[in-house]
Amino acid sequence: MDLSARLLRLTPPRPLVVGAPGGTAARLAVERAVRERGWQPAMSPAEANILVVAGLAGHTLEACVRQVWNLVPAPRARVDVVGREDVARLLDTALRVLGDVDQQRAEATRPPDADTGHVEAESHHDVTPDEHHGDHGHHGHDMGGMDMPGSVPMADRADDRDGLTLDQLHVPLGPVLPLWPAGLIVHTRLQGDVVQHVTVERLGAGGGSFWRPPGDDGPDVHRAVARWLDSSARLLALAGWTDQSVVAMRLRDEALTGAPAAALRRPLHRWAGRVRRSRTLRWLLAGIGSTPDDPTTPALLAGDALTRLRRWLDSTENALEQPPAPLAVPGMRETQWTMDALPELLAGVELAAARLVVASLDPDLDVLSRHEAHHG
Amino acid sequence: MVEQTAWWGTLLLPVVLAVLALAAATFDATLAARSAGGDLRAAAAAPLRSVAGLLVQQRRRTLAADTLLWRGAGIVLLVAAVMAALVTPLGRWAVGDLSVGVVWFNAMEIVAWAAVWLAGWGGNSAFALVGGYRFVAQGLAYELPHMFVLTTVAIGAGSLRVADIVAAQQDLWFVVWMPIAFVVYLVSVLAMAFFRPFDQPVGGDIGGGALAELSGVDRLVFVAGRWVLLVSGAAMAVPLFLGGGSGPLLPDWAWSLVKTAAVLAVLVWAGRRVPTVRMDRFTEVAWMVLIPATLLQALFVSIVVI
Repeated sequence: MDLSARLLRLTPPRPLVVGAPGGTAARLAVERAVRERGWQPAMSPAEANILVVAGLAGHTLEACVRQVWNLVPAPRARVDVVGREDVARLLDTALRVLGDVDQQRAEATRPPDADTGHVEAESHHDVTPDEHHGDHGHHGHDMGGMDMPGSVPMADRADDRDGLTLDQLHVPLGPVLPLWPAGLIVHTRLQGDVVQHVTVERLGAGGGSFWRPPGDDGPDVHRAVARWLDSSARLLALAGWTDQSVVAMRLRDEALTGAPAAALRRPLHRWAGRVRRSRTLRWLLAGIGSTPDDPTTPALLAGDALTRLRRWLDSTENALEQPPAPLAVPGMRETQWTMDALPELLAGVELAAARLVVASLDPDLDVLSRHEAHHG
Repeated sequence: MVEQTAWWGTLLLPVVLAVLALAAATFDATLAARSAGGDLRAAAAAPLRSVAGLLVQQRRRTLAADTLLWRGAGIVLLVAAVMAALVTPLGRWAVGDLSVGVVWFNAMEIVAWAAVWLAGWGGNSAFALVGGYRFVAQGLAYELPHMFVLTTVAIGAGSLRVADIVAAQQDLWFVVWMPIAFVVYLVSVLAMAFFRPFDQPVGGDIGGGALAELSGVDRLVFVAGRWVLLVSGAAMAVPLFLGGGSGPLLPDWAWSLVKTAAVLAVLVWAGRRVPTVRMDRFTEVAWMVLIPATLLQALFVSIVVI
């Protein structure tokens, strides 16, 4: 066995999980399997060696996924997980591909897909196809013959919030971005790390929400609890509190397997108490993404990121009490409002805060009907 | 009591740092696995497996990257981190016993600013660039309190030579009568190694920030540099505040190692306890609380010394 083969065998799997619209069930199953196997999820294509597409990627998303795939260095494997079943087998296959010397040698020398071309430097992970063609002449650049080597256009300039003239970059957030709502694309105009302007786009619907199955008389307790825990886990992960985020994910997975409320209650209280007591978290989330205080704002989204996180904690705990409190699960109204409000909420905030704002609103785009594809 | 080693000290230093860095990374992985409910034994092997994986991983290229500066950044970071430990004594041996040892240490860690910035900028990628920006902002927040702390220690010992600082603690460790300086020092070590909770420059919200585009051996060198920087910072806390190699029973080099490992463990453990501190919030604390606190500490020490 040669050295490469030995090193390949030791290579720890680092999955980059891409959530497709309608792929929530698959994403949850993948995240659970990844956690149980002790794999560390990747935050960027450069770090990843397994690209996991959770759900059915439509035409547009598939084009984005292909571009991201070209950014993943060998050794690499791609897995498409469509349903909840079969996750273990698919991940095992990926692991086998990862350890296959011949296949990985071929992978390392393969040129990137001809139809996706090279990736422009400004927007690595999350390029949307309509912004991305060979000539790079789009998005309002008017730089005639001033292209840099590699035909990357020069950045535009504009006044920033302090009145300084700075470069502006067009960076789309999503659809391939960890801890990001499936199917959401936020086109940002960045100056430094400050978001100046935002337009919101939505990828095609994927047939109903996992959290709000159609035709059911009321959300069931376990699924509602799992939804709040999922939202909290993603917000905590983005806030950089990995350990408590992982605990929330464990609780979420237990709730989804239908663990009895009595078994969940104690660990849940312990976790919620710790999150609630953290002074650092309060200090870091207070004032982030405050929604306007008027009657059009849905009650479930009122306040700032901290208020919304606490609302999730309270709802989770109350749902498991005896008798359970009525469940107020966010639905179409909340998502629609979020999509409309995002341009205003994100303008002028720093990138880190922008990600927290989106995570604290956690819109579920799968509840929207197929027709309204464009916003902002 | 601190003397300069012969030439072999130069060879030994990187080995000691590497072992400590690996131990710290292993401890960190174990803590992570404990909260994830995973297999602790597998987690303990994770850092070494990561090294193996990065050795065999393809090196990435980005379009219109400044290749020299981008790939060089990791090497600069690693070299600066090792050089910072040049003046740190292990028991009674130091590789270099410079008359301006404290200043040397400070200068080397500031080289890290350039390294992280170049890693962020060189790759020609928006997220990596934001990571670079974040580290520069972080430097503005932590560096002044950090320098006042180093000044306080130098005033206490009446010398910038690390050997003199250790000698000055023969009766009483500096940590006892400079507790504020000690705490601020530990905070600033976490910040300078952009380690949790000050890991925003390599934050997950921007795909790993300055690390976002690095893969393979480039990533390995950069990540190793970061761990060694944390080790160098933790190791320096021992001669500055914890009496260097002094202690009962064990030889003094062993005491140095034990104390360094303890500081390192505390830093790694504490970093996991809180969410990532963003500079838009922390800068205010650094300037309004930490700078006055360290200045008062320096004043107190100056009065005692006089």
